[in-house]
Amino acid sequence: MKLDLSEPAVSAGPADLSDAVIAAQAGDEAAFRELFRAVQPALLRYLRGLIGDDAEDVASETWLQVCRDLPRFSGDYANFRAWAVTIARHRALDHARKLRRRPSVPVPVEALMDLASGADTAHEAADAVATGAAVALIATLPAQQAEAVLLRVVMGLDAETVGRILGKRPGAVRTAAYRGLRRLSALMPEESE
Amino acid sequence: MTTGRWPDRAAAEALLDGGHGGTPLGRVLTAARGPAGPHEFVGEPEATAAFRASDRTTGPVRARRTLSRLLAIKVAIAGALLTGSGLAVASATGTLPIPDREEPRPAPAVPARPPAPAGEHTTRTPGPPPSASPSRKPKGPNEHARSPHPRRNTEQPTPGRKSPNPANTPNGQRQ
Repeated sequence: MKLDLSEPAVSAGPADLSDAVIAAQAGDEAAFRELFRAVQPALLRYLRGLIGDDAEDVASETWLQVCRDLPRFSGDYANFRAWAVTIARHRALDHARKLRRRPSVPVPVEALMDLASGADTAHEAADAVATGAAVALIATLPAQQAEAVLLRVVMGLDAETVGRILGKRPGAVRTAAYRGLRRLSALMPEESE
Repeated sequence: MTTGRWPDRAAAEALLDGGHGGTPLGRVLTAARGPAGPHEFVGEPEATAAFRASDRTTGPVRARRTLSRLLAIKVAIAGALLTGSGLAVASATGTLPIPDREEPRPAPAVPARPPAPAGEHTTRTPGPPPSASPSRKPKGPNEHARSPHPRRNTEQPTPGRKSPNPANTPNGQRQ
């Protein structure tokens, strides 16, 4: 997997917190907070892309289950992220089943146009708007494409890990993400390269 | 799709990995993975509280665990004592079949004995019919003297001696 380090990828932060996982399993609250802070923003974005405004509730349920099952969890930080995502996904699917529909995620069109055109988003509020708009745009994709793109981009997981989470082959994940990006690209105001 | 054929698969992989930041799509994806804002740590107090509540290896919970372990040990000891004393009582009162050494080994000769038609035979063994012969057969005559059922020895003194083979015993007894 290629990793372009010139790009900011804070939420996907590959910093290895495996020690924090072990410490949290031993009951270290500070270590747990560290894990929460490293995972929650990306998890929320992923959930927002899946189920819209109920993302916070589902994230909260997810952390309850993470806390409950943490003593029985076994693995490093990468495994922990994938595990947390898997739990979140199940909670989100349960939630969507109750709603009997896939919640729509409103796309802030203006913010999206600013974003795509490269308008200045140098300060925090603009960043947040841009992030929300980008996730909302990805969420407009067909469900499988949206999820593949969200997991790979927002959660920073590789195709193999996403495949395990979704119960698909890595090749199918790559194809879904690829089709999603093609579709997104068609929505962009202009093309380059 | 509708506009051109970018990105191809390779470019798509690069985009997914954070490349092509200068393109509109690249900027969208960069924003999607952008820095976490303060609003995105929502739920931390609740999650931390859940962590504290569910964690079983720290603080008061650990003490509770130790307590419950102690309790379990106590229960185990009490159970062992009760079982032991129960055995002792049963042994003393003779309610367990253990004291009668002839009881537990009826197997080999049993099938032949119940159908035995001899009247003497049936009256002789009101207790556990099959038990007498199997224990008697393999043992020597001295065993008979020590038997808790002397009647058997007097009424039927020799079958064991005549036929050490269990299969022959019933015949010998009937004669």
